[in-house]
Amino acid sequence: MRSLKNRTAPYVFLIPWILGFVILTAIPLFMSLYFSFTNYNLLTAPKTVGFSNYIKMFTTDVHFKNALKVTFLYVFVSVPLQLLVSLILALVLNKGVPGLSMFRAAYYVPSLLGGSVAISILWRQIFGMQGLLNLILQRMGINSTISWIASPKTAVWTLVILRMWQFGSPMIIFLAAIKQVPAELVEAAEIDGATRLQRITRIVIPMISPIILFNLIMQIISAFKVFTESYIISGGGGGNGGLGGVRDSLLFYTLHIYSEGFNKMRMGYASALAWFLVLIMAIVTGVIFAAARKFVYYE
Amino acid sequence: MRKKLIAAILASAMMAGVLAGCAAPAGGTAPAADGGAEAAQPEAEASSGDKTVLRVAWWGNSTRDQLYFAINDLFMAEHPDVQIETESPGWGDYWTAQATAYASGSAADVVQFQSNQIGEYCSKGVLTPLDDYVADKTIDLDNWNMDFVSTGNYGDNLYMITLGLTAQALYVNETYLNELGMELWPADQDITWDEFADYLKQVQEKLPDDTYACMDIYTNNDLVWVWIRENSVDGTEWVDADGKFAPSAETLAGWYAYSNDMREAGTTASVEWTQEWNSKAWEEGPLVNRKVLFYFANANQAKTYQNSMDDHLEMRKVPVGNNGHHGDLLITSSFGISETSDKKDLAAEYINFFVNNQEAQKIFNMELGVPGSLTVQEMLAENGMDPSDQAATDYLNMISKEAPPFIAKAPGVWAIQNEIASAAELVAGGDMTPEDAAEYIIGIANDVIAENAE
Repeated sequence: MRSLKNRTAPYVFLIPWILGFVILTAIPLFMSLYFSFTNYNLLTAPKTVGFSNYIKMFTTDVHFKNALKVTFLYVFVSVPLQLLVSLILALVLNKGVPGLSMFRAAYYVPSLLGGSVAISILWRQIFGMQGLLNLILQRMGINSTISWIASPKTAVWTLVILRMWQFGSPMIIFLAAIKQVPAELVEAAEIDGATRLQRITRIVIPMISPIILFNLIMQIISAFKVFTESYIISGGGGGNGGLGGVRDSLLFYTLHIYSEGFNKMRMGYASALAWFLVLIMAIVTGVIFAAARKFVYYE
Repeated sequence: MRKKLIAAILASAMMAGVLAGCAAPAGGTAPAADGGAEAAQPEAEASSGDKTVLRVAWWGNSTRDQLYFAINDLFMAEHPDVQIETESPGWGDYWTAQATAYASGSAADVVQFQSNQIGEYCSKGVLTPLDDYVADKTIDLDNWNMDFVSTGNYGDNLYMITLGLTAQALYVNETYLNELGMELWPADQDITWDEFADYLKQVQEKLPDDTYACMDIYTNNDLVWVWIRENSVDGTEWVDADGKFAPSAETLAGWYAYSNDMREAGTTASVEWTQEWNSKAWEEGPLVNRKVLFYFANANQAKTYQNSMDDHLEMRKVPVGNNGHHGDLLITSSFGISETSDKKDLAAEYINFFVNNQEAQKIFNMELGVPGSLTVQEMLAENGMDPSDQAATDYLNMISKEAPPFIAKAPGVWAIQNEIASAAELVAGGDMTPEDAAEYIIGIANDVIAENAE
C-alpha cells in the first residue's frame, strides 16, 4: 500500500504541469497538425485539402523562399557570432575582474531587453535614415544617408547585431561552466608550459564542450523562433499589411506564418508552414547532435 | 559534475517553459484591458449580474478611447440597467484579436469594422443583417446620405452602419507650390493620371535634392483600388461573371508601370526612402516636413496634417483614369452586430444612439471621417466645424456623387492587397516586370477566391 502511495505521489505532483502541457501545448500542437491539412479561415469550419498546403509552399508562395533565406542567414550568422562574443566575455570575466557581479548583471540586461518592443523601436531609431548610426558616420565625414533598416541589403544585418548584443544569457551559462573546469588540469597545463591561449583551446573549451553544445542548440532554436524584433522593426503593429520590410528583407519565417495566419486569415496554410519549421529545426538539431559525437567531450 | 550542471540548466529551462505557458493566457486577455479603467470596471458589474452587459469593440488609442467612453457614459445614463464592457486594442492587434474572438465564439456584441473586412466577415455569416432594425427604425436612417449607407451592404443585406466615411484624396502643400511659382488647378476639375505625371515633372524641376514632387503610391492599398475601379469593365471590379478575379493584367501592370515611371522620372523617391518615411506617424511624415508636395491619403486625415504644419494644405480629387472614368471608393468604419450576440436588440439601440444622438456625435466630432447622417453633418457645421473637417465633408459629398456604385470587397481582399503591395516592391526593385507582377497577382487572387468559395 505504502509503495503504491510512493509510486503515485510524483504523478500527483506532476498533475499541474501535465495539465498545463496538455491544454496549452499538446492539444494546440495536434490541432495545428490537423489544420495544416485544411483550408481554415478562422471564421468557418476547416475543410480538408490533403497535402495542398504543403505543396503550395514550394510552388506558388514566392515569400516562402525569401522567408527561408532571411531566417537561415540570420540563424547561421548571428548564433555563432553571439556565442563567440559570449564565450570571450565569459573568459574575460572569469579572470576575477573587480566588480565581477556588477559586470555580470550589466551584461545580462540586454538578454532581458533584447526581444522587447521598446528595444525594437530603439533599433529603428539607431538604424533609421536620420538615426544615430548615420549621425555618427556623418560626424566622421562619411556621407551616409541610407536607412539601414529599410535597405534590403542591410536590413537583416541590423537584426544580427541585435542578437549578438543579447549575449548575456549564454555568457552566464559559459561563466558557470568555466568555473567548473577542474583547476588542477589548468594548473598542470600551466606547469607544463602551456600558454594562456593553449590552456583555453586545449583544456577549457574541450571541458565545457557539452555546455557549448547546449548553448548552441538553445540559441539556434530561439533564433529560428525570432518574431517580436522583426515584427516591430519591419513595420508591424501599425501598418496596412506591409510586414517583412522592403522586398521581404525582414520577412522572418515566423513573421510569414503570422502574416498568413492572421493578416491573410489562412490559418491552415500558416499551420503547414509552422510544421515545416518544426521539421527544419528537428533536422538542424539532429545534424548538430550527430556532429557533437565527434566534438563534444563528456567526462 | 558537468552532467549535473546540464541537468540543472535543463530543469530550469523546462520550468521557464512551464511558467511561460502559465503566463500566456494572462497575456492573451491583455487587449480587453486596453480599454483602461472603463474595461476593468464592467468585469465586476458583469459578475454581480444585476445589469445587462453589452460588449463593444473598436480599434483605439488613448485619445480615441476617451471619446467612446464618454459616449458610452451618455448611453448608460439613458439606460441605467446597461453596463458597457469595452475592448479597444490598437489597429495592429485589433484584427488578430477579432479573428481569434470570432474563431472561439467569444466576439463582442458590437464590433467595429472597416471596408476591407466587410466581405471577409459578412461572407462567413458571423454578422447579423440589420435590415429589420432599419425597417422598424430601431436604427433610424432618415436623412442619411444613401451612398454612405450603401457602404454597409454585402449581397442583398445591410450588415453595418457607418460611423464615418473617408476616401482617398490628393493633398497638396499649396504654399510650397506657390513658392515655386506654380498654381494649383481648381478643386472641382478632373485631371487624368497622365496629366498629373506631366504636372509633377514640372514641379520636380524646381525642387532641391531630397525633396520630391509626390509620395510614391506603390504601397497605397486604397489607391490601387481607385485605379482598378477607374479601369473596371461592366462594373465588375472584384469577381467577373465567371467567378474569376476581375481586374485585367493590363490594369494591374499599368498601376505598377505608373509607379515605376514616376520613380524613374525622379518625381517620387527610392523605395527605401519611401519605406523609411512611410514608417513615421502622420504628424511627422513627409508631407508636413516639406519632403513631398503631393500626397495621397484619406480625406479624414486633413485635420491632422494641417494642424501639424504652417503651410496651407489643399485637397484635390484623385486623378481620373486616362479613359476619363472616376474610381473613387468610399472607405467606411462601421459598427456591426455579431451573430453570436444574445443582445442584438440592445446592440442595435446602441448603434442608433451612437450614430444619431447629437450629443454623442458632438463628442465623436468626425473621429473616423464624415458621418452618414446629413442631420448630424448640418449640426456639426452649425457648431463650428474645424475648417479641415469641413473641407473633408465637402470633398466626400462631392466625390460620392461621381464615384461608381459601392461594391463590397470580396473575402480574401487582405491577402490579395498585401500581395499587390509586396509585388510592387519587387517591381520597384527591378526583380519583376510590371507584366509578370500582374500575372502573378491574378494567379494568387484566383487561388484566394477559389479558397474562399470552397
